[in-house]
Amino acid sequence: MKNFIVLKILDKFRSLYEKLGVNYKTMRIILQIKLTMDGRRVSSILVNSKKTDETKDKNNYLNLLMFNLFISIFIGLIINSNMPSMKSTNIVIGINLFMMISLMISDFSSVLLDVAEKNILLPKPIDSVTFNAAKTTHICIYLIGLSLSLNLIPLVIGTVKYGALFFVIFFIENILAVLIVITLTSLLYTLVLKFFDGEKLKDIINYFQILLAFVFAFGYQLVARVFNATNMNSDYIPKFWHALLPSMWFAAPFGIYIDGNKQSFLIFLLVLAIVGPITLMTLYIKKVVPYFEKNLQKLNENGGVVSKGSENRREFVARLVCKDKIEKSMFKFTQNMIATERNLKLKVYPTLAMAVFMPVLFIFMDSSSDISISAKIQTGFGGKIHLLMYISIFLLCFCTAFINNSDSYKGAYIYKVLPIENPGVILKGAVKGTLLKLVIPLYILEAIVFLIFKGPSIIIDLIVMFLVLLILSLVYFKLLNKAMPFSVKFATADSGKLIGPSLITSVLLGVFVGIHIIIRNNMIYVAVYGVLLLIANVILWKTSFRANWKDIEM
Amino acid sequence: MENSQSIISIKNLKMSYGSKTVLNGINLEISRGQIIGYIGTNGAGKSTTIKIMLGIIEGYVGKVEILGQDISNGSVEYKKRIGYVPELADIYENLTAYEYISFLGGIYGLEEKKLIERVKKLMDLFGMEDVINSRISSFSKGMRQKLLIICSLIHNPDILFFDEPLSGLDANSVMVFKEVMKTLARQGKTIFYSSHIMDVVEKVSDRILLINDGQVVADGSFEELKNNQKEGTLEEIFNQLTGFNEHEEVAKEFVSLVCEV
Repeated sequence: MKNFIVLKILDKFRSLYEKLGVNYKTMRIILQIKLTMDGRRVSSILVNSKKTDETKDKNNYLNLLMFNLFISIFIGLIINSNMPSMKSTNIVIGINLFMMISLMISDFSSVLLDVAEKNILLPKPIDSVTFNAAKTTHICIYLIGLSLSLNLIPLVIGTVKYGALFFVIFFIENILAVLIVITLTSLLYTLVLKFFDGEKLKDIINYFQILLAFVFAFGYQLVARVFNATNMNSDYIPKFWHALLPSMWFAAPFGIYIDGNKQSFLIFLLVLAIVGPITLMTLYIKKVVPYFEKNLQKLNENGGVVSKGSENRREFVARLVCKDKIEKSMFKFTQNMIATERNLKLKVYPTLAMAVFMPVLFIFMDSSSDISISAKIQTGFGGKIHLLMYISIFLLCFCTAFINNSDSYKGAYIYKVLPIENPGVILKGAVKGTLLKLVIPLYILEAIVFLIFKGPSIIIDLIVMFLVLLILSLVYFKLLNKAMPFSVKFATADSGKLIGPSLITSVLLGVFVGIHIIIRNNMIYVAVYGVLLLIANVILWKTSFRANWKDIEM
Repeated sequence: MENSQSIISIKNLKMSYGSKTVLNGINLEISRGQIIGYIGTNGAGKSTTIKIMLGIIEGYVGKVEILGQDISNGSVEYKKRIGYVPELADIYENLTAYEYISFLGGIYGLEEKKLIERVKKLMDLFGMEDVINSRISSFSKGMRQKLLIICSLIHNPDILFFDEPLSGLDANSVMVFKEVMKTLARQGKTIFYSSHIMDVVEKVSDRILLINDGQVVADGSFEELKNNQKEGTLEEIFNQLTGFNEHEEVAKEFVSLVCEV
């Protein structure tokens, strides 16, 4: 087995782990196994052992790192600007915390909430502290990598600008930030696990994620607002609620050391920067770890009958959108699978939540004056505020990303066993199922809200946007998914594979939005644009699913 | 090693998932060197009992002692002396057999070189030559099962929990495995054998436990059960004790429904 460099670095912290009651040797073995497995991928039992598969997963993580490094350049500009260092570091760390929380919720929740491996590991002499330490460290290794790659350029620029001490503080803070993210999320998950049971718990977990995404999206807004009242270069005015923001804790040392600000509140924040993470970690180890696993077992309990929605309504919708019989049953199958596939929901729901909140956020961000919100919606953005829904579309069209993944990927043999002539029909049914289950209801909901505020004059715009959404969802799906629905196992750091297709889709979206914005004031042009989009839609949907069994990655 | 009678002791064990009661007061005393056949209808709570003993499921009511240790005390000491073959082949299948074995060896604290040598020989004896460096995902069901059996034995445990261990094994391997079990029991190992294949349970078990509705409804050697129930085979005793006697009618209706397409 490979000896990972990360583990050698980890060895330096051995005594720390041992002090916490962890059996370090055992934990190291578990981690080694997990890292080895992360580098591999089992896509389905039908795989004819392709060599390319072996390195794919590693590349996904590398892709994510490269992408973060790219973003990092822009974040570096913030440090390089003329603002006081306390302000710039606050923003940078705020961004970092926000990104890490999002990743933690969508990508690593499944690692945290994994119940399957308990059956393998728990009959072995592994105590729960060690088991959890392995799990947490596993996530840490990934998140710290991501966090550092995201902040690499700011780190370099800051060090050049402010000297070596900046490097030391900023580097340590990056790691502390990751620890805060992990402990906070598991702390919150533990609470949810404690208070709910069985089937209800499974639903609650997903609602909880939406809530988290919401809270952090708005929390991040607060970070931007801390300095809003003051202008670019003026001094920082302390307010008590700033003590609730971890990014303020981490910015305080820079305020003291670089800006030479000696306010006692900053010293208080500095103390929090040290005490906060330590308290959270202690709480996590002492209070969370012992209960987490015990309560996690609840996710395994089969609470009996799954509540069923109205069968008639679904049958009606299915008949409306699918002509082909196989497509129709795939459509319903997809909707049922999405409803019960926990890991899929863990990944998709936060995005869905963001899609709804983002336009709202932008409306709030436009805080130039004190006018009421409804007035803002009426007149903001040149009276075309509903075009902010493109932000939702940007997020919604990525929701088909994970439908070829499943925990029960082994069931995928049915596609080969069943008499299916044209696999394209299966894909078509799956896409339609996903769109109608996840994407379209949200779009309609949002459209209705804007309709209420803005009146029927925006209907044509809404239709155009909807057509764009349909085209982009399809394009994204085509770019990304070459396997049958629900046939590939989830892997750690899965998001890496999305970057390429996402970029292409984003560029396309940019073009569509650009055209719409240019012609926005001429209703006739917009209507013509709509007709063209409709034709494009019909052609794309008609031609995209002429797949052959040979084209399908199995 | 303790020579006291009970190596596994379960007192008034109850377990429920939400509102559904699975175990309703199980009492058991098991002594060294026995092969216990643990049988029951689907969903009777067999696997739940085993998983509780292994520490996979917590939140039970009652007392479970294994090798004299109350397993709820949080110590994992007893797990060094138990082996487990799971019912569903739960295993890290994107590892190679070699990697998985050395992983387990590391956890049990075994010396790797010796362990691998031993495992290679064990695999050879099971007819699995030259696959130790292949991914487990490429193994057939029988090969996986054999690997799991080997894995459960590498640390020479005192108690073995076998949950449907024969599934997927060919007839020759089954014969080898049955003989292995008998020999291990003679050496003083305790084997907790859960299965639905009645004639195997009938032949290998020193003592048979039948649970139904979360309770032990029969406990004794096959001879004793036969005398009590006045039935010929374990299968018939099983039918009688679980209150089932209409298999012909059920089968008839089943087939008639199949033909209704």
